[in-house]
Amino acid sequence: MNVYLPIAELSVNVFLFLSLGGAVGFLSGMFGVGGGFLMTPLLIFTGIPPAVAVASEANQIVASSVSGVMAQWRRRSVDFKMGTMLLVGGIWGAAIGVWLFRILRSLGQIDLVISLSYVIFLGIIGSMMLNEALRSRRLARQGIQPRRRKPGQHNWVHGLPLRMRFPRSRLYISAIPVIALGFFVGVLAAIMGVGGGFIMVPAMIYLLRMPTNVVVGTSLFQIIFVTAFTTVMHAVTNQTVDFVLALLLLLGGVVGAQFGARAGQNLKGEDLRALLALLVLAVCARLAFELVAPPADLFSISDFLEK
Amino acid sequence: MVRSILASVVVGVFAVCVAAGGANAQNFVTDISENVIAINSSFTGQKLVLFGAIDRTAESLISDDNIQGELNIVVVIRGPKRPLVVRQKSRVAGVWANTRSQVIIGAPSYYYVSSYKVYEDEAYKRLFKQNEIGAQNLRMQAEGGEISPEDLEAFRQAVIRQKKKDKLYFEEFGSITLLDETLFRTEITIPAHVPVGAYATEVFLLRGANILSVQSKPFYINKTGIGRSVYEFAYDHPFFYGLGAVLIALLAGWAASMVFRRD
Repeated sequence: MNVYLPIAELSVNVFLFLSLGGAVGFLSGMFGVGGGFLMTPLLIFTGIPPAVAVASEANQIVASSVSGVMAQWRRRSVDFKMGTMLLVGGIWGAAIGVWLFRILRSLGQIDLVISLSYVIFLGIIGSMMLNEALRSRRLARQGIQPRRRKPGQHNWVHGLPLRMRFPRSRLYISAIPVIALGFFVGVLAAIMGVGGGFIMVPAMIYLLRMPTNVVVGTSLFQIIFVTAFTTVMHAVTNQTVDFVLALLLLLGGVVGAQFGARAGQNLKGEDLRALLALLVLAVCARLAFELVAPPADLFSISDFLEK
Repeated sequence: MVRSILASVVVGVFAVCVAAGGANAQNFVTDISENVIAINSSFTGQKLVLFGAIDRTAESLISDDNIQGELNIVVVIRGPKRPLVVRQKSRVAGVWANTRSQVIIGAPSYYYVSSYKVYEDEAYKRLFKQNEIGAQNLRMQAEGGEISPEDLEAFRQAVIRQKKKDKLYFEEFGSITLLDETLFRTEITIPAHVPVGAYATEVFLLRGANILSVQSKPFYINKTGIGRSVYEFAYDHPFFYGLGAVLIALLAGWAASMVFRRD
């Protein structure tokens, strides 16, 4: 059964995209990640124009983050004050990201920038995750508990001015790194079509030293607003949000995530992270190959966009 | 079955035309199976049937001794012309990146050509070039800035190559069937991703490399149903479209968390 995607202007197989949503949802449920960084490249691989893939995926992440944050909220593990400060930066980042996206698109460089960003971020995150997972696996086998950082420890971030109190996170830190982190992730959301959890969560733990129990909920909370804002901005600036595509993906994703979460409970944490790292590196390698392999045709054509 | 119905329709149309036309220059008639193609949400492409009949008794077909050669029929269909950007990649620091771009105008967004017979002689080539018959004979121009004829030709060839690859340009010389030297028909592929707008059909009746008669007829490809409404809304009211997309996502996410609530 086929459905016509009104904005991508393509007729696609409903079941292919439902199962794509389901598969990525399964993985995100299993690994506890957002899945945007897997979905956007997969959409590009299936022939969806990269600009439409990015904007529609931002739309889908709104839905998956809402269903994620509800569970966290019930457990009271959302730091709303921290989330709001992250948002202050995030909205600005997303606005500038969408503006950059528009310029790059009219210059014909957006596809390259999307691919390059993915190769760089997936490459870094994937190898860090793999390295960490393999090390803790080795330590676990030798029976040594991995060294945990104490929450009281400080780093350079804690010496910055404009300090604020974040009671839920039990932190008294400068607002500057919080807003800067939000801004950076906002730009990524707009250009890469990701929620940015894979940057946000490690940064919250290692940079801001937030307690791990509020990290995921707070990250999801701000992702909802940043991706919602990104979706509206992309719709206004680039007309690239295909909500039929987003709907297909989120229907599959919601169901997949439930099964994934159950499957994940039967796997060891280190093995899980090692698997995810390998997956991330595989997507990275595929994108990198397409960037360096000689193209079949040096020329490409596209509709002329009014500037 | 379809063929026989079609044939009887054609004969009917033909009879009416012959009766009405009498001795004027009307020496053939043609029609298309549909005048408006609607792309709805389940559109997966379509075949259009173009058919017609030649009046072999018409004076213009037999009386002129100066016109030699066999009868031939050529069908050309052009989609609306839209400006295109052609980009050329080259290697930058090991990565293939777009390094040149050029706006090209004059290329139809869709192009289809078919004929009854295939000829390759010079007279035909001249005629085809003049009438832009065949993708290679499509004329295109570069917009803005100076560009050498060699570069323009490279960009033009790129447009033709890409459009053929994207299944938007079709060349099916020799594919028209002619029944009893009178009834002809050809099938036209309209792919799912066809651009919308007004399409022009031209049917040439040729003897040798001479045009005996030309008939043109427009047809329209529109988006209808939900697909059209969504597309138009997204372009006319982008802010509310974005807001709507977000609201749907918020609702879907909330509904999912309710359905799968575990505690």
